[in-house]
Amino acid sequence: MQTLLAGLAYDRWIIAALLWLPVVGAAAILLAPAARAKYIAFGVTLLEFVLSVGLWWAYVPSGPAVQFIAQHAWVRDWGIQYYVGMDGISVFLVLLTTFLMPLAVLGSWKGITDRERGFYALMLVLATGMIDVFVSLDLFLFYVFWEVMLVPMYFIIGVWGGKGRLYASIKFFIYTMVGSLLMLVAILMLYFAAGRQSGNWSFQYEHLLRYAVLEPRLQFWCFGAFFLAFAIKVPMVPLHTWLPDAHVEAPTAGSVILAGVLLKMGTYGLLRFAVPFFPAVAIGGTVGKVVIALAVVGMVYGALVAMVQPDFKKLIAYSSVSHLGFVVLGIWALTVQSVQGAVMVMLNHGISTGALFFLVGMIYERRHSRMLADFGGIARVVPAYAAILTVVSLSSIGLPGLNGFVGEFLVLLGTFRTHPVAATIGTTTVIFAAAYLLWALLRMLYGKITKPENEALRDLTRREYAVLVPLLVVIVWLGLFPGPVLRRIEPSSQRFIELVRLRLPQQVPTGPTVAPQDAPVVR
Amino acid sequence: MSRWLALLPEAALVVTGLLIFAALMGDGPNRERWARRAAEVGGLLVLVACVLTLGRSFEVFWVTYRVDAFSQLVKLAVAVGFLVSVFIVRDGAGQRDDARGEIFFFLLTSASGLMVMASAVEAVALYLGLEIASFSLFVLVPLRERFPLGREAGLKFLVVGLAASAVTLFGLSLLIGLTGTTKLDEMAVALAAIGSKPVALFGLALFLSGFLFKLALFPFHFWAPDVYESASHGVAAFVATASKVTAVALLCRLLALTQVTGTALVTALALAAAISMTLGNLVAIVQRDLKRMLAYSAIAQAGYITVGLVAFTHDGFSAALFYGVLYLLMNAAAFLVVARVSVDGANVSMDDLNGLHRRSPLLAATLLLALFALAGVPPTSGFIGKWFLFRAAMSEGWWWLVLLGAINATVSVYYYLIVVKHAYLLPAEGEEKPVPLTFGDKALCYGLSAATLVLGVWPTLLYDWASRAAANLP
Repeated sequence: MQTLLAGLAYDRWIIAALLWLPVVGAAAILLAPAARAKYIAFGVTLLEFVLSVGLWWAYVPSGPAVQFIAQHAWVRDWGIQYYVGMDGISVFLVLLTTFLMPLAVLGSWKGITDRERGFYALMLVLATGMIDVFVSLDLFLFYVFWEVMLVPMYFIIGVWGGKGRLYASIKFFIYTMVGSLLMLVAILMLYFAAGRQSGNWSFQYEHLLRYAVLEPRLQFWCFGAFFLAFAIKVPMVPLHTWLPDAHVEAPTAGSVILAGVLLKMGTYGLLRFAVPFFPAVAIGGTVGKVVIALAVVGMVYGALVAMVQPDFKKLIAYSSVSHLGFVVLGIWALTVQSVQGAVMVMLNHGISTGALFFLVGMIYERRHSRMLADFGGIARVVPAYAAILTVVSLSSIGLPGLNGFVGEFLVLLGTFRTHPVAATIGTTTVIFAAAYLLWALLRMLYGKITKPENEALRDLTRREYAVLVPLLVVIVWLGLFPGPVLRRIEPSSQRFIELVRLRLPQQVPTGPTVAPQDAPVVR
Repeated sequence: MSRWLALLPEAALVVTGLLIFAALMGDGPNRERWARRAAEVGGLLVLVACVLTLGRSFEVFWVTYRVDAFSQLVKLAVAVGFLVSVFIVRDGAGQRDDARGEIFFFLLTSASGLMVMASAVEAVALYLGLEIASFSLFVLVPLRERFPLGREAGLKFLVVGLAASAVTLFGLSLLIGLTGTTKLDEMAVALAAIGSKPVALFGLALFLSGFLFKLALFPFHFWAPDVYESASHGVAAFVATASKVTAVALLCRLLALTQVTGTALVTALALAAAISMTLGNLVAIVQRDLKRMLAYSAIAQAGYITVGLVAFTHDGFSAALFYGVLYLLMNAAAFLVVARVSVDGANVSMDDLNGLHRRSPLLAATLLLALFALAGVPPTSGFIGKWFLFRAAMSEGWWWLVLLGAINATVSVYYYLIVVKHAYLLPAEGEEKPVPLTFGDKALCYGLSAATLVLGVWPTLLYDWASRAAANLP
């Protein structure tokens, strides 16, 4: 397989293909008749996934830190570049994106009937934005796509959402924008600091990492700006309030992508930018403790609030807050296991929660209700649905043998070595998760049928199987054989920790650095 | 002799003026239509002339009038602004019945004034251009049909405008008295020798006020909301586009006269920028009339531009010029949509936009792009423009101003999104009446939207030119 990919020069064009194929697809959709839109969108996203699968083999864990690099000048005088590449963490987040996209498109075939062309075109533009965020190695490029993505999501929630869509969409947009504009100022600060230090003006990630030396007070504020932008996106308590609104009002595909990928951009940002740029602020001192406390509070709080939700979709939304707390905890615990675990939780949460949102969407299309109280005992009417929902819920809870377990276990294991108290409190979250999800299942699926309307519910259709079966396969596969994935993530996690440790005592990296090599500047 | 070809745009202006004048001489039923045709053809001529003379440089009339990259950039922008405004006016709907043809003539004289300003390198010529440009607008603004607020707005515009003009003249006389010359180049040399004496700063500050008035920067912004709201769409579009970009350019030219970094004048400008951004954005939130909202947004945008100006570097002036031109394009698009959505030239409220995406997908998309550009959402030109402004200010250590600008951009997103909400998310009340568009409307929509996107992705296409233009400043 590797020789085949090498023969195709796969590593040279893959990122460009992944980035620009959806844009071409979106243009095609806008020109084609509305009835074709969903087929084109599905075709493009499926092709995108098939192309991206090659990353599994093409990415060499023992190879250079960043692979598949592509670099072109964009605004030459100002050192703005189109500079992309992937490490082990990016590879899997990109794979997660390309995996969820065709499913999200397929999952909305029935639900989206109004303004179809717009919907599918926006989904494809969203795909470009998301992938670019995960592969950008130029902070300007990263920022541009980080912002670009808001627009399609705003419309997906605002146009195709539920009753409160107007409020939810504007809240989503403004919340994210507040954080990101402050980040913009911080990026400029880094840019000028690095430029003055080195005499070379560039937004390159490695360049800024190496030369951006700020005085401690400024470091604190810049970290604050980065952290705010990412913490809103994650979302961390107390900045999470946009999430339940956005999730509940978004159409199924919107929720899946929002939970599956968009939230990961927040944690990815913390992992890639906020912590490595300012380790002295982020890890050492009070700030680190506060972040860990917030993460733990988010885990427990999300779980407790999820427990009392009458609306199944809102329940899942709050469970996201809880799961993402694991990721932040894992990053801040700063051990190889915990960081690997954090990345695994990102992937698993994307898959399990994505699947849960699909399942809620499917039952909503049948009954036009998401209230747990409107169901009861439907396992008898829709056995296949009930079985899949049960398996997915168990994976979300973290049952050993399914995917959810691996990540959370690693995070807790890794965290226990550095922050035993946080890990201990965090462990209770797993119990709460079991409580809220099993209780929800109990009320919804089992027992006697309480509502006559539910007698005639249809079980899953073939299209719905096509959406859910791939997710189930991955859930079981990652649960039983996480090894290959972990092996590919490990070098990057290791590198992250070395990078942070190295920069911890003082900000100026001296001597032989483990920091990735300075890529040649395109002039 | 071929050197004189550099004055082709001015010649085209004269020809256009004569054409419109001739058309207005008749008093048949088609008088307005002929005037409009003359203005359109003439505007196109001016535009072509501007393009043809690119790259030429020339000094004439005893070195008071200079054609260079700077003036050509501004002239081209003014020509585009004039043409788009004429196009927006169309049949003069909303203009007083007996002045539907005259509107073209006065727009043209105002455009001529602006072009004179762009090329003038001598203070009195500059002042002359300023007055020609302003007086035509003083006439046009109150000529609105059935709009009681119109006269008040006209009066406000006139009084504030004249006051600003008088102050400008006073500042000018101080500068001339101090330096003993009216030529800007010599003035720059003399001022450099004098240093930043209070009287020089004072004179410069007063001299600037006429242009700050045109830019509608706090504290010279009072007229903007009323004028935008009560002038007819075409006139408002002209005020918001051609007039703005010239004001930006002239501020660059005058601020480049002297090295004032670290003086009270810079602090005052920075404060004005800060207040302008904050005030404009906050007040814009509660507006229900689209044009009035655009006026407050213009006050805020004037603040952003000034953020670039206070850097007092080549980068800052280039960024301001660049953003001025981008702003012209976005605003032209927004006003085009306002004018076409409006029924019989009446003002457009937010609710009139409901369901626009079904009534006219093209207009809705044009409006969307224009608003995102104004808000500074990538990949539109507005984002990269603001980025350049902020970067220039940041490199001179104006981080608090940039921070405030960033916060303000977030605030502005809110009210731009309200408009987007009306156009895209809310259904029309009652039946959905499609908005009729001519071929020209469509072409202009596509053109302006394409410019917004293309310049957002390849800013260097225009930025390099702005940078060369800024290099021409004394």
